[in-house]
Formats: sequence, structure tokens, C-alpha cells
Amino acid sequence: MILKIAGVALISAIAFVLLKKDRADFAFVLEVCATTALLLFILPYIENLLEIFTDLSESVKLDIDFKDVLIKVSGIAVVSRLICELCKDAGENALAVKFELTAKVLILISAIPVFEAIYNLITAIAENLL
Amino acid sequence: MKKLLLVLILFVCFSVSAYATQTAEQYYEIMLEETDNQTKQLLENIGIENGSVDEILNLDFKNIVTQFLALCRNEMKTPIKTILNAFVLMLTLSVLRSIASSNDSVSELIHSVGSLLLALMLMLSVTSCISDVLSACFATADFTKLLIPILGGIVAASGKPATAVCFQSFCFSIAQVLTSLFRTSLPVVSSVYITLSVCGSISSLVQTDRIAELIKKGYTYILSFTSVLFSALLSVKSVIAGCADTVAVKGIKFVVGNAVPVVGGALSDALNSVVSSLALLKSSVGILAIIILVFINIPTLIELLMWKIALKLFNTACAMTGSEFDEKLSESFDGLMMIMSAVLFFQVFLYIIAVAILVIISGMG
Repeated sequence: MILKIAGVALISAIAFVLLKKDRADFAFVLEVCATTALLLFILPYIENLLEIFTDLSESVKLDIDFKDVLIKVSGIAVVSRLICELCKDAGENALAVKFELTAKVLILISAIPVFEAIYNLITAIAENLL
Repeated sequence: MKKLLLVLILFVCFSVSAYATQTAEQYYEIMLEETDNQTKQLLENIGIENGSVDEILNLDFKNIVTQFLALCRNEMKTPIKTILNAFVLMLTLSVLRSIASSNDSVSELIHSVGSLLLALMLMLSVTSCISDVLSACFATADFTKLLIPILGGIVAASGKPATAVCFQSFCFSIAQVLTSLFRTSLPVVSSVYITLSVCGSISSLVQTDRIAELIKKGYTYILSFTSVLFSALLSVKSVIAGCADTVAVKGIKFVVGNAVPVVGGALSDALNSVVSSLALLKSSVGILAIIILVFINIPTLIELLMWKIALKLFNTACAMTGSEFDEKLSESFDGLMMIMSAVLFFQVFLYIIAVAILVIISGMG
């Protein structure tokens, strides 16, 4: 598996270097395609990670969808990293910073159920036991 | 005439002795009946079924250790399961954080969300723990409310009315104060402490964990101070009341010994026998009461101990993986367990000290 990924990455890198001199726009498209291909390669293996999240979620039995939060946060973190790096490669540092900020806001929004659950639990401790 | 008086004295002595034995069994029965099912089961398992002195003297140490280990095994399941889940989550989030972002702010945000999830996971289990601690406190207070009149009655019957009044009034008021104090303060202190600790643990920008630490120290200092104050006051009051009772008993003995012709000395000795038998009864009831008090609280204390051990293990794991925030979070929960242990220890020792002081002081003179 890693050899396939390494092969795709190496071929893409060579093609990128060759294209970058004359057609920088195509080089960028190639980079995006290569990134997508690499992501598609690892996609089936993400299931294992999801299984861990599912087991954890079933074991903990929280009021919130534990798995949902973990998947969202993980997904946003990975995608934001990739997009930020692509933006930086394209020379769009300002866009990368803005995207990163958007990702942070999205992570916070995804974590809102956790905040709510903690608030409810603390209120329950104070109210129900009193 | 002399024979008749001898028979009369023997009758008085034996009838008192028989009465004491019957009352002792009744007292043991009342005390055992008023305990909850779990405590009853525990006492039966270690070999105390009717609470007699013989049963207490013949307790098997091996059996006690076996029961203690069985309790530990039973109570360690939830903490270990929760801590293992927390550990898996911590590792997953650590890996995710390392691959997700080269930027520190995103990484810290992921860590904050992870810490919140960890806190939520731990809080959910800790809520039942707080509930158990409160139940143990109420069960102890209820048992003490039953015990105080029994011990007070025995002490009064053994010729120490002043000590009995002092003990009853003081312990009743303390039991009432403690029950209402714990009912209101423990949930509030626990929720405020854990909120501040979690806030302090999820970000390095907020240092609310220091306020939480202050609350923890303040609460434990107040408990320690109250404990010392209670013990000192009860000791002083019991000593003074004991002295008053001793003077009264000696006065009665003197009057009986000198005023009653011929049998005055014998009656005075009979009074001594009555006092001694009641002292024995009071000691045996006191010892059984102390055992019951310990066994009401021991499952919850073991639960807290298991939580502390599990949190220490998690803390070590966090230190090994370099998760500072998670380390702080586990320390906070460890602090909460400490507060709850302090509350339970405080209450149990307060009542044990009260019973022990009563048994020792009123046994003097």
C-alpha cells in the first residue's frame, strides 16, 4: 500500500517539477489531483479509525453523539491541513490563513454539543443532588 | 434475717445481669436492622450476624481480607473501564493532533475539544460517585441518629446522666448540622471545583485551576478545623460531665453505704456491679456501632480509592505521552476524589471519635 502511495507521490512530484517551469497553472491542477488520489488511496483504511470511534462511543454512552464529534473534528483538521498546504503552494498565504480560521470556527461549532453536554452535566450535579 | 437479705441481694444482682443481656441483644438487633442491605450483607459475609461480643471477638482476619479484596475487585471495574476509554481517546487525539496541523493554534483547538470530551467522559462516571458519597453520608447520619439515643440511654442508666445529656444534645446537633452541610455544600463545591478545573485544563490562557485548588484546600481545611473543634469540645464537655457524674455516684454510694443500716455496704457494692455490667454493655454496643459505621462507608471509600488509583495511572500515562492538559485534567479529577474522600473520612471519624470518647470517658470513675 505504502509503495503505491509512494509511487503516485513520486510520479506526481516529477510531473509537477517538469510542468512548473512552463505551465504553472497545470502544475497546480496536477498537485490537486495527486492530493485527491492520495486521499482516495487511504479512504478505505479510515474505516478502521471509524470503528475505533464507534467502539469508544458505544462504550462511553454519552448523551451526545461522541463518534459524530470525533469524526467531524478529525475530518475538518485533516482537510484544513491539506487545503492550507495547497493554498500555500499556490502562493496564496492570505487565503491559507483565512481557511485555517474558517476551519477553527468549524471545529468550535462541531464541539458545541460537547460544551452543552458539559454544561448540562454540571447543572445536573448541582441541581439533582441538592 | 441475714439469709433473707443475702437472697435478696443475690436476686437483685442476677436480675440486673439477665436484664442487661436481653437488652444487649435487643440493641444489637435494632442497630443491625436499621443498616442498609449492602452493609448487612457485608457484615454477614465477615461473620457478624447478630452482633454479639462473641462474634466480634471471633472475627476471622483472612475472611475480612477476602471480603475487602472482593469489594476492591467489584469497585474497580467502572474506574478502570472509564480510564481505558479515556486513554484510547487521548492517544487517538494525540495522533490526530500531530498529523492534522502544522499550526499550533489549530492543534491546540483540537486538544481543547479532546480535553472537553475527556472531561465529559470522566464527569459522567464521577456524578454517580458524588451521589454514592452523599448516600453514604446520609446513611451514616441516619444510623447515628438511631445510635445516639441507644448509647445515651445506656450511659444514663449506668449512672452518668450528665454525660448522657451532654453527648445526646451535642451529637444530635452535630449530626443535623453535618447532614445539612454536606447536602448543600458537597454538590456545589464539586460542581464549581470541576467547572473551574476543566476550564483551566483546556487552555493555557485560562488559569482557573488555581482558584479550584484554593477551593479544594479551603474546603478540606474547614473540614479539618471542624473535626478538631468537635473532638476538643466533646472531650472537654464529656470530661466535665463525667466528673460531675462521678461525684454524684460517689455521693449516692456514700449515702447508701452510711444511711442504710446493715446492708448499706452490700447495696453500694451491688450498685458497682450494675454500673460495671452496663459499662460492658455500652462498650459492646459502642464497638458494634463503630464496626457498622465503618462498614456503611467502606464500599464508597473503596470506590473513591479505586478512582484515585485509576486517575493516578491515567496521569502517569498522560505524563509519558506529554499531554500536559490531560495531565492537569486528571489531576483535577483526582482532587475531586480527594475532596469526597475528605468528606467521608471526616464524617466517619467524627462519629467514631464521638462514640469512642463516650465509651472511654463514661467508663472512668
